[in-house]
Amino acid sequence: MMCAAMRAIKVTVLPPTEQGRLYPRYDIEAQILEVSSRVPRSWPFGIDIDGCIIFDIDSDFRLANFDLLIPRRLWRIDPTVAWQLPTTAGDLQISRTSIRHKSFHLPLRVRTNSDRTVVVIRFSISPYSPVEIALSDQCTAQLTGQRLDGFVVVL
Amino acid sequence: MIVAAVILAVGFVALEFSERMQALRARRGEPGVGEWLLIAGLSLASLSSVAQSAIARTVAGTARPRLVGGDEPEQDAVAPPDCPPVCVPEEIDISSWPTLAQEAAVLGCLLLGCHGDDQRERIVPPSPAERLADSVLGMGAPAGVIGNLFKKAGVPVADHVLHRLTERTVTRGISEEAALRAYYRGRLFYNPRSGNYIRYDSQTGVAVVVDKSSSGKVITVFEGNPSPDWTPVRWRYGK
Repeated sequence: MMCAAMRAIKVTVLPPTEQGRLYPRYDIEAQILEVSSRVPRSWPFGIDIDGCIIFDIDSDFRLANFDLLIPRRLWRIDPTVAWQLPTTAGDLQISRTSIRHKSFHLPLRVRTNSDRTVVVIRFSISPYSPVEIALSDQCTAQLTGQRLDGFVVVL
Repeated sequence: MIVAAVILAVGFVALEFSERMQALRARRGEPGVGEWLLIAGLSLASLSSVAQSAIARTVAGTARPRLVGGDEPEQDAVAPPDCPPVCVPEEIDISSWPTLAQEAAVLGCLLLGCHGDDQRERIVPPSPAERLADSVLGMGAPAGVIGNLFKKAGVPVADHVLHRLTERTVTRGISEEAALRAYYRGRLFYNPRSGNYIRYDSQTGVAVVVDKSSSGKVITVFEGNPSPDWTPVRWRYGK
């Protein structure tokens, strides 16, 4: 069964907790960018975008991890990419509707700066997101209302 | 009553097996006959993980946590992971049972996922937290065991996969068995966005990402639906 038509991943922003802090690490062997919580726990729920980003969600529906399967060599270099930490911190709680939908088909784009230390992951048609939430001092979520548009990660 | 009967039946079979092995060891004159029940218990504990994993594979489609309720967050709830093979609905008092039956019940529980509480002489169900913990550890299998099936099959895997097999629990239908099955028998796709190949098992919904179309290294494992972006590739044997 193919995924249904494109829909957005809906989230709620919760007060920041240790469980919701996400830190990036590039796995050279697997060529996967892992952005994970450091609090070990099970991830009983998961969603994905075209098998390119796998989201892992804990039993409180908090985003606990995401893996970007597009290898670093395929990230598009864009000199305008820059890192700026937003002032608001929070955790992302994924909506039950999105968890039920499971597999999303979204226009995924991955851009990076020239030394590949800042990665912008966008899966939204709109080029701009009005809300930015710090998931840690190395990862930011970009939102439009309840719609998750993407992430900015600094390695 | 049915649950107790099943536990007893499995327990008696285990006891019978234990006694036969004990007799065999005695005939061979091997030491440590008295330790047999302990050894049997440990063996059954490890067997239980295998048995439960097999069952988890069989029922993978139904063993996932279920989302219940409406779309509004306050109306939503998540059901705990499904019970082990025999789900004890409530505590069963075994204090009045004969000793042999009590031993059989304890052994039966060891295999089936419930607990035999010696001190209170009761069979108790595992708590939701214990069930979840069992899921994390591959239905009770020690964490070090994860990866053994791939190793035995000679399938190369990245360390990333071993971590994800632990964290992406069997409650999502992901297990090492399911991943290996997808690797061998899954439909083959090419993902042009990532440059990887995907072997997708439509029966379990589990996909393994591999770096080559045949005999490739497993990079990661997840569950989901095929993307319209994936290009079907003529099937070839996984290894």
